[in-house]
Amino acid sequence: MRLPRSRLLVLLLTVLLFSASCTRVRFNQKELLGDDMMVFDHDEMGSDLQNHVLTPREGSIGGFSSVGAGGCGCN
Amino acid sequence: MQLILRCCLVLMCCSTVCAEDQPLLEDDGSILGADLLEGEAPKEAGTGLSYDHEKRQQLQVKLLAYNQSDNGGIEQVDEDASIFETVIVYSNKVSERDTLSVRLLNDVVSSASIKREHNAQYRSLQGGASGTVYTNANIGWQHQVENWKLKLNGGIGKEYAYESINLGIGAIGEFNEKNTTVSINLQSFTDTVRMIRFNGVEEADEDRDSLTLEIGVTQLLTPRSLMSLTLHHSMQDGFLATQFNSVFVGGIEDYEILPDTRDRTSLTLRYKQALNQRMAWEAGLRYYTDDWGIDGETVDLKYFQYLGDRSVLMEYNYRFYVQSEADYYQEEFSSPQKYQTSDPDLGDFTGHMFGVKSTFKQRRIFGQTGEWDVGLNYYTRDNGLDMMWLTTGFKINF
Repeated sequence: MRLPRSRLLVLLLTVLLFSASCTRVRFNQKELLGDDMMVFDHDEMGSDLQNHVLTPREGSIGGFSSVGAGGCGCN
Repeated sequence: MQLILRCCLVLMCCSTVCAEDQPLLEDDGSILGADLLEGEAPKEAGTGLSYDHEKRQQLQVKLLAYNQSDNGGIEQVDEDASIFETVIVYSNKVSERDTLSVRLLNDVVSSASIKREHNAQYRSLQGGASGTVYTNANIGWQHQVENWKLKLNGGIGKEYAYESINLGIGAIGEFNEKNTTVSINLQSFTDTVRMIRFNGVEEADEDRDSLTLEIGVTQLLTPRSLMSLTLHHSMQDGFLATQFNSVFVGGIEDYEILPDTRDRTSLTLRYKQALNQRMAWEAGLRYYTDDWGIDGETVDLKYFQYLGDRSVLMEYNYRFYVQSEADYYQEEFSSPQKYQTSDPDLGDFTGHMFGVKSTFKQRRIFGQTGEWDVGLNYYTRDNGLDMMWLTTGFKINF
């Protein structure tokens, strides 16, 4: 049975807001978080290229890169 | 599938709920960050600071070689295609608050998207549409105001049967001692479709307009983990079908017809966790829906590992995708419909992608310090389409 999307949205927002208020990473603890392996899409061009390949071949769009609808005949 | 997605959500929640603020240790057992002096800034967390503050210019080049093989799907259409793509991005930090960037993209496409095995006489009528070049140029400006980065970009794209003008604005704000980042982006495309049909008939040009809004929040959770949530909404208006596609109605080839509006929404949750200073993993979930009846779910898993003296970063990627078919999709029609498509990309299928990438860091490239990478990806769909692409590129600061 599918989880209703409205309830899923509430669940995800609750997790995020709860996490936001729960802990704060101190200034001197952020070194690892700045490493390339800890950055979402540290290779932004590579991520855009990958999603430029996948988006025309799938119906879905958004979330993983800056590729949006429109811009070429592939979309 | 639902069980897997729910387990991933539970895993993320368990690892983030009020994690006790344990000190993070270096490999030699000392406390991470203990030697950082107050006022000495570590790399901006979650951003992968790519600028050496003394080097204001950056050049990035990416090359892509792509091949897709049609091993089934619609019998009448052969979707074999090859694409070679080159992307060049130049950035210049013209002042402490302003950055200018220019991006050039060029695709050389050899496509059989209008090659129909049963109707060879149509092939010569489509002119350059079966093998085409796509070129795109974009310019961007970023300005920093206190804890906000404001962005503006614009560009043009052109290929044989398609032209595009795009304009975008955006903002990124950091709050909560830079533990929380909020991003907002609005992008518009004003496109012109050259109406070359599958049978060589050319009609008057049509317009296609797209507007995309994306809102994202990234939150640092612990010294080892962070997560992001992105809401993406696109609205499209105009001629939204593929002009040279066709369908079979009672055995007779007819035009693809799709609605002239489309609303598309996706919600993406991503989580990243460091295991130690050399290894990390990432999980992403995306739910997508649109008013054409397509629902899509994506699970994206990545594993990162440094090799040797941390001069090589390996990235392993598995991606699962499943979508339902559009309301107007059928492989063949018995009678003409108001909307009709046999495009396999709008059908129901399951896809699996496997990828690996190596990034070689701190290398001398053209006399400057930079990095270069090489990656290979393979994607297979259960409706008969297989894809493989090879990427390579480099990035230097000077």
